[in-house]
Amino acid sequence: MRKLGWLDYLIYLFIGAIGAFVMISIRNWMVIRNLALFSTTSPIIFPFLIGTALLVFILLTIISDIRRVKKNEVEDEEDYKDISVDLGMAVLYSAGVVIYTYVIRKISFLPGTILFLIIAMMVMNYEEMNLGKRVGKAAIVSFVAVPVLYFVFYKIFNVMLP
Amino acid sequence: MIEFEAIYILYIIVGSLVGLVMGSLPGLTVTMTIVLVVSLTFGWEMIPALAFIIGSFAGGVIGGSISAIALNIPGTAAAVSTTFDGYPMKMRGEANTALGLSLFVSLVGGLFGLAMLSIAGPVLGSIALKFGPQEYFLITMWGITLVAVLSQGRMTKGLVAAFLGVFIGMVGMDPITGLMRFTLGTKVLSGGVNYIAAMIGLFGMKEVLVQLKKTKSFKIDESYKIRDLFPKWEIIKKVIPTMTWSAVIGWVIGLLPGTGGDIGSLVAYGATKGIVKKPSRPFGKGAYEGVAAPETANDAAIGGALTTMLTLGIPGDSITAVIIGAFYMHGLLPGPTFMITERKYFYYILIFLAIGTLVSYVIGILGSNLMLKILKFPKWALVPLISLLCIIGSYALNNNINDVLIMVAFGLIGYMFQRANYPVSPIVLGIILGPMIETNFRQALISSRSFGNLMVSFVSRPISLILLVLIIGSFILQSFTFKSNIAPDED
Repeated sequence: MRKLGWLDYLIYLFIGAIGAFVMISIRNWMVIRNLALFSTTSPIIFPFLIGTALLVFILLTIISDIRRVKKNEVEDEEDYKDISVDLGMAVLYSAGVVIYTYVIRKISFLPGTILFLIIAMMVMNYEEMNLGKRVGKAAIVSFVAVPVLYFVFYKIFNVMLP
Repeated sequence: MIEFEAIYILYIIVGSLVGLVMGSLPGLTVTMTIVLVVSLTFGWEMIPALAFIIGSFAGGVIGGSISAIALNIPGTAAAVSTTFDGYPMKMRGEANTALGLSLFVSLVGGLFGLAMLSIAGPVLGSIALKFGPQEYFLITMWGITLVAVLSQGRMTKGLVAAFLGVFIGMVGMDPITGLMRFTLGTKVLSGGVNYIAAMIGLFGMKEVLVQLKKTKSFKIDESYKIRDLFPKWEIIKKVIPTMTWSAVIGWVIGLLPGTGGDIGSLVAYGATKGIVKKPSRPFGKGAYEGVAAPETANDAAIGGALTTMLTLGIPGDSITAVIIGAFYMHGLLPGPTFMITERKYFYYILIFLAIGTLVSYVIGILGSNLMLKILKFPKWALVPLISLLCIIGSYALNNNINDVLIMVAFGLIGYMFQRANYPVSPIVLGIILGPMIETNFRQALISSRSFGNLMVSFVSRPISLILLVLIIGSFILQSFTFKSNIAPDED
């Protein structure tokens, strides 16, 4: 197996934090609301079991990952290549989607979406070296696709658009 | 009595077409197709929505084989083993025969699964009426552990994902006492995490993020001859035995909570390799049996998964998890009483699935060349369009921007989990099954009156004991199940 990377640590931390959050919440409910943990009608017994399961299984995952690294088991190498760049792209794209959903409320669906698609398609079509062609292709697809989608979803399917 | 309107056929045809196109495109999974379709049919009346969803389900499963054969890239996870012999057949110049055979056995598998659903559904429903909270707790736990256990070689990661899903399902108001749990004091989370928005994120947005790097379009310069896509009798004759056991394997595996067509097709391929000593050609070199086994099984699994979903209210896999979410959204509650209170919807589902399977077969043949052209559609244009559908779909649920944010957050979580080799499907099953597990666990605890009595009841009740043995057995069996020789022979 590849060496453990920062993404592995991030997930251990993420799950560990959720487990800890569950346990702290349970403790607070027990102290502040005076709820009993081990009673047959307890609303916190199930969260306690799930929090425990999360902590136990993430611990077992860490142990199993360390063992695999020590054994030099070859797998998943490809998945981890360029992870920082890829994750950066994913975060940027997601941020773009969030910005779009807020901007669209100001400038309405049709122009906002055409703009979003042109930018997204231009960024994604990085293999096209000619910038003019890249913009042109993105604009053509966006100007055709968005009114079609608008008509299909809003007019035919009665779907509310952002 | 059920009333059938001709317009339903149109919904099924359009749904099948959408499913076939999306299912055939590598990277766009059937689950993603269904989750997008579900979100867009939110405002529809229930029966047209059912027709559309079931049509896209049937079409999506069949569509996966098109790219598996043409490109050696499975359109869906259920078509992975179709590439083992489907692509070698294409390389031998038998692309028409491979696709024709694949579509035909899919039709047979789908109809077999459907027949079994119509027979076993009412029987299983009447048995399920005898289940108490103990049995329901164990069967839902079995479903969630099975999907994690079968996460090939990543059992603990699968279990982490599954319990993360259960945790997400707990956010919001406690259904029994009204206690607000894990809401961080925000109003946004007080009603819980919108599970459909989470699913669109985990299956739709996540795939968009995965595809960001893969912008190369496929080069396909061939075309199918429609007439040759109807398989010849001498080939069908050779694969009848394979179809028979593969259909049974697919249906039974689909029936198990937590497993679906992807596992069914792999097991059917492995079993066929073990049983057929003299295949038409060596496995991995274009054996007809190697195409027939997985394609029959993955379609038969639809009937199996729907049987479990409708009679027990438990999703068999991530696709049925999405479908059950859609049913909840439309006010349908699958479960043991479904056959009594909602019998007419059971018949609607049977009829829609039968028509959907037939329609997908016909469209698969007539539209095969069109779908090859769609495979060439540039990824740089497709991926932003899919992300737009994810945004529209999640917004349409409540006309609320918060659902879009939830969708994006889950897309990122799903992407990070996938890149770190954690399976994503158990998260969705956890979200759907979590509330069921909790409710039944607590009901069982209250009725048993103590933890000790609850533990005893698990072994003293016959059905509970069987389920307990099955859960433990699935943990033990997993160590060698996937070490069997499923992959094709290599020189």
